[in-house]
Amino acid sequence: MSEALAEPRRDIDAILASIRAELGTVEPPAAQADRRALSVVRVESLDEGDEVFPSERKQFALEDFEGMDELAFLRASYRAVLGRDIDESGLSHYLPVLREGHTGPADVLRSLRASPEGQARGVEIANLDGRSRYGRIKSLPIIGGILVRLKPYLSLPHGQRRLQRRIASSDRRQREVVTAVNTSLSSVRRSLQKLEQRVIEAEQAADQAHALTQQVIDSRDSAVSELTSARRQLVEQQRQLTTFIDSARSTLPEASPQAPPLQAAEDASLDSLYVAFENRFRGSTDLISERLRRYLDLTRETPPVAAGGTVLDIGCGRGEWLALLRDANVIARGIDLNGAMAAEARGRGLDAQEGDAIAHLRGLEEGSLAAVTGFHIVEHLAFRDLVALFDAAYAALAPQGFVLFETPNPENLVVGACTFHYDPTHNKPLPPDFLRFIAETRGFSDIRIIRRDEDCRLDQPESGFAPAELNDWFRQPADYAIYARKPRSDIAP
Amino acid sequence: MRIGVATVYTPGIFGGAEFLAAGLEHAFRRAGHTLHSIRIPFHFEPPGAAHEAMRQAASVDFSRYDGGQIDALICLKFPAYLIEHPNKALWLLHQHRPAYDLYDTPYGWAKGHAETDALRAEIIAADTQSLGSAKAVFTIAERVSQRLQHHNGIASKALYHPPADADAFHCAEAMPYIFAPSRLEILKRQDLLLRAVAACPRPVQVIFGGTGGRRALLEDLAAELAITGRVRFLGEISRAEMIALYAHAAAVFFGPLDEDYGYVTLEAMLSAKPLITCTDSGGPLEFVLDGETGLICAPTPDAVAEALTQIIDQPAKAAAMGQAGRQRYADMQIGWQPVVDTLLDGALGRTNPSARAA
Repeated sequence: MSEALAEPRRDIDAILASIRAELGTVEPPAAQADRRALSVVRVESLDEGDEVFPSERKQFALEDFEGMDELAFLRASYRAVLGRDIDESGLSHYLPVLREGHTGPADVLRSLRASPEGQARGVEIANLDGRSRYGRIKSLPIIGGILVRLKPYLSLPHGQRRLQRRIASSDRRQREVVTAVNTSLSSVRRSLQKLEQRVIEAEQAADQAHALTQQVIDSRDSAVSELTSARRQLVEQQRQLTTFIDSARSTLPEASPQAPPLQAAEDASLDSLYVAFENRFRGSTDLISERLRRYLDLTRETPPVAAGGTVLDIGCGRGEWLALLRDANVIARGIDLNGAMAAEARGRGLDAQEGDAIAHLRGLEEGSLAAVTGFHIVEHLAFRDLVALFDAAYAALAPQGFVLFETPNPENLVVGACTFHYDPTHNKPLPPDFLRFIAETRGFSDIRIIRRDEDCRLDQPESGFAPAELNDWFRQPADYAIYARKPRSDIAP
Repeated sequence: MRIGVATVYTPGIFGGAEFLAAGLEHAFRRAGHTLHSIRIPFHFEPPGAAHEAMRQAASVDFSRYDGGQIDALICLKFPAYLIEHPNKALWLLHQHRPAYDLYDTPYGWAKGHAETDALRAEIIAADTQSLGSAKAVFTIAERVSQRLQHHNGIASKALYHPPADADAFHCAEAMPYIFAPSRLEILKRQDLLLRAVAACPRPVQVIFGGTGGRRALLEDLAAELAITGRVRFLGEISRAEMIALYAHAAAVFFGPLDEDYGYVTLEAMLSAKPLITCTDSGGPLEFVLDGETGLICAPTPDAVAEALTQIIDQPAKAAAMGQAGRQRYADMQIGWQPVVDTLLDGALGRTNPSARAA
């Protein structure tokens, strides 16, 4: 720590470079490819050549200060005699008079030692007084003045000697410098070699890592595709089993041949009651159309629909959705258990029939539909029928075809606890994650829960639901829809 | 607890006030409270907009908000602190400056205009009334408290908050340079430091961090003073680089003119570096103990040069002052948690009487 500022030669740019090198790892990876190249190689710096005396040394001889140029001499003598670096005023005073020969090294050393600062430090310099006759005479009046003017001539031989010593000393110093430079150069070459070696090693390691990553990716992909095919086989087997059970049931004798006509009459009267109920609670035709409009774009974007495929709307009711699709030039037909509803839809020129959706789906050719939609249908179904609906839709859909089922959203507690139960034919509320689970296990992919309008944009992430406050449980949209696709045929087993 | 933090919103502006609000809200959330950000739209122009904004702020009732009761309301800026609430504490950055310290200066409202003078009287009256109705009044720094006392006769207490990334600051081996971070603006007085470097008998090196309109001017000045080789202007630097430059500095210079608070002071203390500041620098003077955690000198090149010489000649003492600064930061208990606790205690009337409005 203590050396920190006593080292004026530690250059500001070197400091910045070292701090930035320390930071190196944190700095933004500007150019990935260049990160292997090391920009700074540490080179031993050359000594500037100033004599450096240990600060505790108190004994010197005049000869210790020989062989230096004026600047080096001044620096060395300040450090030796005063124990500090030379200041600006000292430099501007002594340097010119030394260079012009008005004074000599011995005089400088003497006056430094005689200063209050020098006396306090008390350094001894041998042989200093032997050459001080001129100095002492100089201080005499008159003779001193003459001597000062004659001095350059008097001291000429001595000056020549000094010059020769300085030349010899610079030769020596130059040889030292050359040696030092050579040593530094060879160490630079060595570190460059090492660096190159390490670059090669790093490149090899990177290649190995890359190959390993590729292996891992490959084996993961094959594992995933095995899993998918296993799941698909399972779904297929379940479907076959259901068909088998149905056909077995149809061979059994009818339980009571007299019941159907009676029940049919009863059902018809309930049907009209339900139309009245819908009108009261579900909203007018216009209102429902407006709510359904948000699903138009994602329907049209789905490849099999875009290719001209048919949309089947189960529980089509009065045909609001069918009308929207017709207006958007999408081929669509509907089916509804409620004969009165289906008749109302037909009355508006729509293709709607009365019947059971699951049975209808099972009777269709495999892959013949582009989409199966159902608004406020799934919450009427018992669990067994719900699963059967997903399975039958899956079978009837073309690859990349989708199901879209809208239902009341129990994440809104008012819906879950109250308004859901207005409808006497509702079975039970279906939380979004539950429907997601059913779709997933029945083989669908690209599943998303559509709570808000923005969720209809398939390229955007789902908005999701993360309640932070009690109020959030009352502000959820009252309805949500599940959207799920049948996977593409090319990844099927 | 349900806490409301109320301040103003001016589109397109994100500065110290917005940083402070974000930091406070983050701290309340971390302390486990439910937080509601309340923003009053506010425009500086025309002057009459202040009148309308005051009327709005005074007319809203946030005691019930978002379906529940707000237990305590913390207000930061004019006119957001005019909102009435039974448990209200203020933490003032500053008042509406055109009407106060900038009034009758080129930066504020001119004296003698009937419209602005009437508005000024209205603002001062409303401030005095609403600040008086708060359970507790705090400011971000002693300077702001002094002005509040001066203009409105209201006593308040300074409540200090930490700079961003306070945990990242650290001390490393000192290298021979002085670090001078802050925007290159006239009030930050980088030119004073340059002249001091030229006047200093020791070969001082300085690294300036930050951008600003005066960069070219300062570079020319350095050339004129023949010290270009010993000063570097880094311009905009990353947070990480700034922290490293603090860590390795021999000392930090921050000598602005009448600063309110100044994060540089706190960042130097966190980095255990002595701070050189000036007798008229304002905020830093609340933290620096002359000769103990830094050096306070007259705002003249010679005086600053003398301080630089001291730092250079006595590296051990400089290091010790830095450590003492770090200790002082710890002793002053500057942190978001104390800010949250104090504000909440104040808003709920659990504060000691000295912080209450007079």
